Amino acid sequence: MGPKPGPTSELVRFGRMLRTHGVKVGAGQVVSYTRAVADLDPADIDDLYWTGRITLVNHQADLAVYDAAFDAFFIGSEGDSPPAIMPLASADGGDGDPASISFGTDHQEVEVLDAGDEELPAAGGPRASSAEILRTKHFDRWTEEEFRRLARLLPTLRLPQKRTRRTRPSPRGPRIDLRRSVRHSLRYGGDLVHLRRRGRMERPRPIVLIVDVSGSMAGFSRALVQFSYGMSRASQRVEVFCFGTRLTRLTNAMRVRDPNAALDEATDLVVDWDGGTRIGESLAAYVTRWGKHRLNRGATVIICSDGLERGEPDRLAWAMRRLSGQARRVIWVNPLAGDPKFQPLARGLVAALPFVDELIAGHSIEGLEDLARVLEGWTA
Amino acid sequence: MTKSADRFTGDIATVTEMLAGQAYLADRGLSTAIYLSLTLPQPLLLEGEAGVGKTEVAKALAGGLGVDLIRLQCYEGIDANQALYEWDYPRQFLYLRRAAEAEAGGDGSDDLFAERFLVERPLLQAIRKGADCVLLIDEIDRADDEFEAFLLEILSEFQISIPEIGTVGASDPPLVIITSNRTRELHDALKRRCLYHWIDFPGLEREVEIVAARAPEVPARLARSTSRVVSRLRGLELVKQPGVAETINWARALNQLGEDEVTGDNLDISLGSVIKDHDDLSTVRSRATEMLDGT
Repeated sequence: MGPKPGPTSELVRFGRMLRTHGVKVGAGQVVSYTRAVADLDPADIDDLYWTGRITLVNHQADLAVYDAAFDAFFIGSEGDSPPAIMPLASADGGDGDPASISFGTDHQEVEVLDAGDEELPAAGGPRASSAEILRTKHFDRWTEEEFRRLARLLPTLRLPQKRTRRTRPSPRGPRIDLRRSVRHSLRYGGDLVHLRRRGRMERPRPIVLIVDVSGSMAGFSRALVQFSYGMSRASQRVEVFCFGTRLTRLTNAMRVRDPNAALDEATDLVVDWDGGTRIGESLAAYVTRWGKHRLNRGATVIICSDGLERGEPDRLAWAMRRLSGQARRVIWVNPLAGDPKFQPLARGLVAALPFVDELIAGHSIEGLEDLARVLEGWTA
Repeated sequence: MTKSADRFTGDIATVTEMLAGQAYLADRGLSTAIYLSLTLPQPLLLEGEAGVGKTEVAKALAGGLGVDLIRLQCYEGIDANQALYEWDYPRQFLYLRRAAEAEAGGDGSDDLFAERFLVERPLLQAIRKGADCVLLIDEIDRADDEFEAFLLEILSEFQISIPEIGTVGASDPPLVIITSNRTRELHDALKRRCLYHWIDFPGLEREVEIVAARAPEVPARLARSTSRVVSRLRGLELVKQPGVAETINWARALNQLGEDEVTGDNLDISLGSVIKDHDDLSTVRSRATEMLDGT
């Protein structure tokens, strides 16, 4: 089928089509696109493909969507809706106000999750069900008072800081600020009466939160994601991932919409109800896919899981070893550890523990307060 | 039309040829991206795994266009002063001292911030040279958000004002190549300003050609053998995938050792040229026969 570069309106329509499939296309990009196509006239199909790809797409993750949309629009495939991949954050802004924190006390949501849980075959065996009980006992029965405590905790939270290599004027800084000193010396005819100084700036250390959202962990993870949402408002540098059978990144989805809705959607994506939890695979995916992009450099990584591993403990040990090598600190939050009779026996946890800096019982508001204390303890 | 576009009269095929003349083999997508970047003109943002030749593109382009390459290597903590200009303080001090000793009236501060005390950093150089250079902003993801915002401003105006000297601007902006290793997500505003091209690892045939072009001393048989093994290595789940640079180095290393193809023995001793992670080494060693199968 011979593609016609077509009138500008067609090209604009293609840009709009990409937008409806979740590719962020700015007006300026469409202008570049039409100018480029006009310039290349007469364009063949390859020119048309590359021109659009180079001008309209600016995220590698969007390339697959672009390819499918291009085929559908310019070549005309038999399939009706082109891209099989719908990006997570593409849907409308969600009904919740993203700026407000709701703690999932909303009964309906909890029920939806519970229904899912019931369909869950006894994947983790007896331990998984005891986690269930713990969850119902601790998280779901949080009182209004406890939610208020959490809400109070967040704004006061002092996240670990890191000294950057950027400097700013500072009276007692270690470095001499020549530019300002020279300027100041002009007042005294070029004599350096006062030395101006610079010191290094501080900024929050990146925090990476990796939460288990499979059946047994759903409830507590929700509280923790809320917690991280609170942190991300204090610092731009919070990354959130969730996993069950697979791993997915939640950070961007949480930015544009209500964290609860983002988590629900992601949960559907990563949890196979009969697949059990594959912590090792999920963390390995994190380490190879994201960790190597230096997300981990100097970061505090918080993993929240009960450690009931379905897959190979070796894989988990491998991933944890790499993670501890990349990250500054690794915290493991385990809701089961809140049980007085708890012993870290779960296969996964045993494999992971040597690489964990801090193990926290995170079954309740006290657990989150502990977490906050640990984070603050590292501030110094 | 800008000067670089004037100097560049041609089409996409011309770009491909020009780069090939610099021993850089570009595919259709990359050539189109560069062509558009020259003619629209807009900065070109290149992303891709480490070692696919992002930085090399800029060098080859400068060579092909016959202009200077000005490189701004980004790093953690880089700020506007380090990228744009600085004053030459030691000389300023000396000048002041001399002026004071001579007591030729005034303290000399009027011409203290004059052109001759200005130290140009890459961005100011590029703004002054305009279309007579290719500006490479390398590994922008290492710099922080503030620096990115500052760059965005420079890239949209190509003009800066130095209070003591005045406004410096380029009537014809240079060709700008920005590279990122995606260690963090760049801001959308910057991305929207740029053309975007994702460079993939080359296919097998293309990689053989690249090795032949970059390391002409390597026999064709060895070039093919190393390229084939490397493309299989990229199929493994490795922490650090070998880039094209690794293939070239490896082919050179084996050639240096007098080998003419990859074998079980020389793979084992030369693996360090391609695989640079301890865990990956053991992964590859455990599957060596599979990697060599049929080569």
